[in-house]
Amino acid sequence: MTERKLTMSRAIVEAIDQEMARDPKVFVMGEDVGPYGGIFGSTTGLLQKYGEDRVRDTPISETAFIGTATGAAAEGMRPIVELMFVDFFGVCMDQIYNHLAKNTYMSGGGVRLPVVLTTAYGGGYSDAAQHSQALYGVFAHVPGLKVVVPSNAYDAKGLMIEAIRDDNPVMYFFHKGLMGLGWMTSPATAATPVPEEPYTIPFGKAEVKRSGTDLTIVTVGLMVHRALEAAASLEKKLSIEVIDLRTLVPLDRPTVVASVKKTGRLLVVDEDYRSFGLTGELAASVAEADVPMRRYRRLAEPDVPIPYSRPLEQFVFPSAETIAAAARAAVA
Amino acid sequence: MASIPVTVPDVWSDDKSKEGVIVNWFYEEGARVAAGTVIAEGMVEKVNFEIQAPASGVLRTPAPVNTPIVPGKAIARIETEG
Repeated sequence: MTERKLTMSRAIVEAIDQEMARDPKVFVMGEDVGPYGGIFGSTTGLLQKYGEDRVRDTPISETAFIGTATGAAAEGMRPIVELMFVDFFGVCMDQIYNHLAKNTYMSGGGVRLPVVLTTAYGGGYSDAAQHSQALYGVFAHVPGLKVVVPSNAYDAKGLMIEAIRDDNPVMYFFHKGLMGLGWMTSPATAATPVPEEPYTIPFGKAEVKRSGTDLTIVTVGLMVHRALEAAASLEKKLSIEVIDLRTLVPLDRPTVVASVKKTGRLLVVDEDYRSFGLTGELAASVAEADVPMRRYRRLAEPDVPIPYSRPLEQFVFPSAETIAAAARAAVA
Repeated sequence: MASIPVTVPDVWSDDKSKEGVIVNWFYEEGARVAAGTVIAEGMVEKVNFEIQAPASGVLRTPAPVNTPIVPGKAIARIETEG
């Protein structure tokens, strides 16, 4: 049969399905993960296949159900638990930051916590300041959590299976605008051919999506597609390397450093807030590697709440056009 | 060789006049597909649903993504062999 293309949401569901079939300890929990199938399609069809014991709708009480996942993992289960929007982290931050991230350390390695905490991030559809944030930097900051941010269906499946099989807590961020939902247009490049058999993608391995010699652009998630579009629009004038980090923890610093060694210029593109985040972390990482950098620039959400107004919202997020302008300026 | 239409399943609620759209194709023009394989996704009233291949064969003339659909509408053909 011919190669099939999957959307990112179907790739995620296929990964979870295959791992649930393989390992009876894997189960799913969260708000609207049952009959609804996840409001962004991350659990579609799993309830019908595995029943209510293994696909559990929870009340709107993130502290309770994320705490339950941590406890179930400590007892030997392998929960996948969904925080519907990452923006809702505030009501369950003690569970995530102080229990899920730290209990393995606090128990002297006596407790393993193989939890996958899935969550939707990102804006671009006028959902305003409390439903549009990226926030992965908040979770990459604390020791004890791995942070995964896939940009396409192939990576989404391989990284999800890797996350489920990992004995440590993994936060798995999916951008709503990559899932292939009917009501929120995804870039055409987010849906990709996906092998039917299970496979894993190791954490901490960035992918060079496009090689170049004039400038290195590093980014993650939805912005990978915007950066590639920008690089393609400039290809007659500039040779731009585009790196998809795929995971923030562990962070593939060597791939970034090697690229900047070649190009001498770094532009970091980030949908998360500009200050105290990914953009600064990568600048510091390259500087600490003693790599001469002729130019460093960053393009990120400019430290303002994300506006509801569509034109204002489009203004705060990097676009192919603003990335191309920043790339031209970085090389000028 | 027969040509079998791929039609939109009736997953509509009572009002059949509401238009849905084609959201995704999982196979491209010319792909070989097996009967029962999910080949496309439609959406009506913000709910996605699956569209299966009615027969094994080669997918022909899939209607573009965002094409409006109603129950029973033909959106592609399957060319069968023999």
